[in-house]
Amino acid sequence: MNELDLMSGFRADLASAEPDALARARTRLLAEATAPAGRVRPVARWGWRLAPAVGLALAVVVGLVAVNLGTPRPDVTGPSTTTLDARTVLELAAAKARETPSVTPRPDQFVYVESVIVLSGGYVPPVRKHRQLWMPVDGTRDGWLDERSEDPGNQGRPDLHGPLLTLCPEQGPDCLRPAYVPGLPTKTDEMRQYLVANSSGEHPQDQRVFELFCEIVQGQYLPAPVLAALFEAVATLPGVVVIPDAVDAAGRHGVGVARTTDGLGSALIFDPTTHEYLGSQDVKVVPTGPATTTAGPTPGPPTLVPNERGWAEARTRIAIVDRVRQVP
Amino acid sequence: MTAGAAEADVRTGTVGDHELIRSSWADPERFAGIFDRHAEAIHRYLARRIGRSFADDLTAETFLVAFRGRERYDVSHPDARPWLYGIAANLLRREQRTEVRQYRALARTGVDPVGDGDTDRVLARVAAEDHVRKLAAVLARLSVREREVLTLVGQAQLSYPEVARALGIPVGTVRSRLHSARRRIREALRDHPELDLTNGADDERA
Repeated sequence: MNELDLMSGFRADLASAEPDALARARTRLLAEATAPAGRVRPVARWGWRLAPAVGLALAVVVGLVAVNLGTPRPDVTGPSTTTLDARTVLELAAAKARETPSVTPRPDQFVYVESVIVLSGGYVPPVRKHRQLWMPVDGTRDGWLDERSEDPGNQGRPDLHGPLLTLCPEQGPDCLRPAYVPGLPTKTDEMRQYLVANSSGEHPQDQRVFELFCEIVQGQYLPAPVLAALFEAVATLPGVVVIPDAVDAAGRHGVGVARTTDGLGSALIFDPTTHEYLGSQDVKVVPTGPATTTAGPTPGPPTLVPNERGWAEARTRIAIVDRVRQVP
Repeated sequence: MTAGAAEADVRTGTVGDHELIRSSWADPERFAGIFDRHAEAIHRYLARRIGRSFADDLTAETFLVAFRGRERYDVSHPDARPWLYGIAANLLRREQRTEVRQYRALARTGVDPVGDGDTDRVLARVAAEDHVRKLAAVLARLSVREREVLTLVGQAQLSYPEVARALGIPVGTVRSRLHSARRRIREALRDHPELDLTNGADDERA
């Protein structure tokens, strides 16, 4: 046995392709092969097949209202967000965090997170789920996960009810990020250094920093001074843009900050009034704006839209509790 | 060659992929033969990395991208698989977030989001074994370049030179990326002597 044998067995029992799925793919290929040059038929993928309606649905249910990435200019249509830029949004969020009482959880407690998540992919319409998650503070005991779909058909994304297993209590390099990391920086400069030192991946450094920032905010319990330092550290990161009207997975309107590389990236969404973190959303850049004139689609500047193959999560509650499955 | 004879050759597999692709330059529909030969394997590779729903879509895209690039195919290679796997791997680069999230979910819950949609089977499914969860945690942390090489060798069963061709990198780079990925797995699974990961040699497939 070696590592390649392990990989050879990993997901080896996955059922083969549905004949229907392959037939659809073959039809798409033949449609292109038999189409006159330059006249390619629309792709029958979810999100494209029903392009106008779906775009609207995403904007309403899980999305961001498309934001123009061209020359920054005041958003004359958004009454409450006319003067915000990304830096201001993050600084307001930091100020809000600074005035929030800080709670340090005990090692034997659990971080409880309640959220709405949206899973999507391929031909399958997005599935919206309500999630309750209990994560052990010290990472040495099992947590608990409940996920239930709003749609009973739920497109092959089964509901989950079961223990959230602790992978490795010693927290080596291949362990998952724990729910609570004591001793994270509370000063802006130190946090910036921490993000640079701990980010990884293929992207340029600023994007890596932003992705790690999003991951930490989404996935961890953060004492208020740490959260504030995070927002401040990213406030001055180059390339972060504002989304004047972003809608989280729970349908709440907010203001977003996003960063992309090679057309893909992440956004965090904040409450426009309280400046609290609401949720996160995968985003992508599309080369043209939506059709807006009666003359039909008009090419526009790059536009930021929700990534229909991505992920969205709206956090509706976070708290510290004493036991798994205890709701505060 | 008549169309009927060509069809027969496709079925028996005696025409190389390169011949089929070359003939599709003038007769685009012939490219369907490439799909019929390889779509299932490409779908399987994609599904094992990202799940069947995404794989349905990405399989179609892989062959569309291949079709559009068919005139640039190097017809000195009778086997088109490395080319097709390379396109599939490249398309997966845009889906890294999803792929990594699914590995993490498997590592944390012991339930693989990439499993079959059949609810009864899901309910009956027991949590994945500890070593599978650790393997998933490593897969989540590998660079996409390492993951490509590891999955093309370990799951698609390509040889080193085929992976090199698929990804457009030297064979030596294939070897070094695979070596580091395997070392990460070995370290993460050091508490599993029952797996007997002792055959640590890079048993190169020629």
